[in-house]
Formats: sequence, C-alpha cells, structure tokens
Amino acid sequence: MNQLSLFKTIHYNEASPEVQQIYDETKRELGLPFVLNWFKCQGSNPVLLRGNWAKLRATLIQGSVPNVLKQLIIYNVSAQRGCQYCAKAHSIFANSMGKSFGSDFVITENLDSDLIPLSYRIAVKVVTNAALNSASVTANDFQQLFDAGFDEQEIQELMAQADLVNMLNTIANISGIRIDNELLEIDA
Amino acid sequence: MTLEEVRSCLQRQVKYLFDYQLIRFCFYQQEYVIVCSLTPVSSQIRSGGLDLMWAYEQRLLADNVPVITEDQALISENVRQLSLQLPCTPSELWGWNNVFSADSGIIVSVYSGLDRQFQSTDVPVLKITLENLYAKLLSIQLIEELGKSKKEIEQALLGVQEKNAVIARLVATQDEIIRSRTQELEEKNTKLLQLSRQHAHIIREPLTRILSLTYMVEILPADEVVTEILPLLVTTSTDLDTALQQVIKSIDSELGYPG
Repeated sequence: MNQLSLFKTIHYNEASPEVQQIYDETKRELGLPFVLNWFKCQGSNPVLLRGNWAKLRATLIQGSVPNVLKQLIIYNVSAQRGCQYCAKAHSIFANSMGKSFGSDFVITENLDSDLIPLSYRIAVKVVTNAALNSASVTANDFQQLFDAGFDEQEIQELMAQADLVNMLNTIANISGIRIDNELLEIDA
Repeated sequence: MTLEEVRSCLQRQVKYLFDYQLIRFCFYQQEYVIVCSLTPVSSQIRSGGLDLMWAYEQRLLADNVPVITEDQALISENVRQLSLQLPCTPSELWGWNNVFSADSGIIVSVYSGLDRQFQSTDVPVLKITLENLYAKLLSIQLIEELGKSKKEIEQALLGVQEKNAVIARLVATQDEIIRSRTQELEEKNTKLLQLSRQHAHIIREPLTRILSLTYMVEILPADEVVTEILPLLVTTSTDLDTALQQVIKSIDSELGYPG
C-alpha cells in the first residue's frame, strides 16, 4: 500500500499561493531546503494542511522538551507500528540531533544505551506505550515520568507526541507517500 | 534572570543532559557563595557565605583535586546534610573545583548510583553546563551589585536632596529675616526723618536765641556780657538741652527704643 501514492502530491510549483506560503513556513521552521512529502500529500486541501501543520508545529517544534527526544518518540512509535515513512524520516532527524551523544553514536539503534539519560529512556518507553495502547495508560505512567524529573507541563507535552505521531502515521500510511529523496541524500 | 529562574532552568534541563541522583553546584566568588542542589524531582538554591558549602566542598575548594569516590562514609555524611529527598542513597561521587578566575569558580559534585549513573562520557557536557552556569551566575551577581550601587547612589542623592532642602529652608528664613529687618530699618529711617522734621522747630527756638546772644557778645562791653548775656546763655543752653532731650525721648518712644 505504501508503494503507491493515494493522495495527490502537490509540488511547490503546482501549489496555490496559500499552500506555497504554508510550504515556506514548513521549510523555514524545520530548516529544510525542500518540502517534505508528508506536507505535499496534503497540498490539495489548504484547510487540512494549515490545521495539521499548526498541530505539528505546536507539538513537535515548539515547547520546552528537547526536539531530539520528541523525534525519538515519534521514530520509536512509527517503527513499532510499521509506518515506514515516519520511521525513516524521524530516524534521520533524531540521529542528526543525537550526535551530541557521540559522533559515531546512532541514537535510534541504541535506545536502551546507558549513554542516553534515563529521562529520555523513560519518556520514550511511556509515550510509545501511550501512542500504541492509549487505553492502557495509568497513573503509574505519569508517576514514572514525574520520577524521571518531568513536570506537569513537560508530561503534557510528551503525551501530546503520542497524539501527534498517530496523526503523522495515519496520514503517511493512508496517503501512500514514499520517503523523500532529499532526506535519503542527507542520511547517506 | 533571577537565581530562582536559574534553579528552575537547571531543574528542567539537566535531566536531558545526563543521569544523576544529586548534583550540587557551588558558585563562589571570594566569600560569596551560591549553592544549587538538584535531585531528579526537586531542587533548591541558596546564597550566602562559605558556610553554605559542605566540609567536603570546602576541602575541594582548598586543594582543588578532582574526586571520584565510592566512599560510602563520605557520601552518607554529605547527603545527610541535604534537606531534599533523594530517590536512593548514591553509590558514587564525582567532584571538581572548576576555577574560572583567581577567586571565583564552581565546585560541582555529582552523586550517582543504581539506574542513574553519571559516566565519563557525560563530563564534556557537564563542563559546558558549568561554563554557561558560571556566566549566568556572574552576570546575575554583577547586575545585583550594579543594583546595590545604584541604590546607594540613590540613597546618597536622597541625603543630599534632604540637606539641600534644609539649606534652602535656612536661606529662605535668612532672606525673610533680612527682608523684614531691611523693611524695619527703612520704616525707622522714614520715621526718623519725619520726626526730625517735626521736632526741628523745638530745637530751633533755643538755638536761635543762643545765636542772637552770641551776636550781642560781639557788640556789648565785656562786663555787660558777663552780667547780662552769660546768664541768658546758660538759661538758653539749658532750654536747648531740655529741648534736645525731649526730641530724643520722643524719637525713642516713636521708634520703640527703650527709654
């Protein structure tokens, strides 16, 4: 199913001025010189694109929790769910940011490593479970995050990644988009 | 930024950098000390004198020799002084005195153990954290000192302003006294002039008589002057003296001088 793009992909030159403006915002805020396929597959519906971009920006880009931790959560959920697009894209983002743990350190392949602070490991574990099995979340999950040093605002921000990744995976899967060539070049 | 904001920032951010059971950052500059203690879920920050440092930290300040130890007696003695709750008793202590200038730096102590192990790979990140923390605390201290100096200057200015006000009041009082005295003198002068005019005729009458008698002295023989004129001159001079005393008395009375 992922081999075929089911949503029409709207390239920058084909997009309406309104969509082009949103594309520009995504490039500016993500620091990318190209538009991700995840946005392009929504380019035919500016209203949905605007809303989904706003959610992604507020949840993933803004806030006080380090972006690398959010990328790790989204990567981990996507990998476990089998969303190839999101797993690949967010592994590239997470690994480029995870170089601070060591230049040869591939963070997505070492999620249980002691080199990663305990707060990261607990957050990835708890939020991954919240995304994949939201009905099973209990007060104990919140307590684990609290004991790891997260305050209420950070916990809410972390849990919001569970909500976001479900949306990201759903759109990526049903749209049938493929990983961006530009991202693969960065990863190479 | 305030010390409280620094504490809050450390509490929030350090957990993303490395694992620890307890961290103590002791910023010192001469005798002034800021101590921030962090556990994974709580923190506190205090400022004051060298007595805020624990004995072990004071030794580190003095000998400047980095520490890595599993000495449970030392670790227990240190954490006993902590008013924050620890998740568990740490098993390892890392400590450095990071000297940033001749009399200032940060003594950092990282207590780790169990699932929160501080590792040698975390040291570079800790050093960067210390450099940033030092710069921030130093800027806060400088701002506080500037604020104190400003307050002192404002206080001194207030003192000068108060003294100026007192001087201004004194000058105003003096001005008023001078104005009042001048007015009084002017009034007295005017009155004196009026009185001298008023009393001139009282003096002129015996004076005219004396003048006339002196003219007669020139034309009369000496024995007649002695017998006739001199007694009249004595009488008239007495009249003049009486007249003058009347005038003086009158002037004294009019001008309010004590008789």
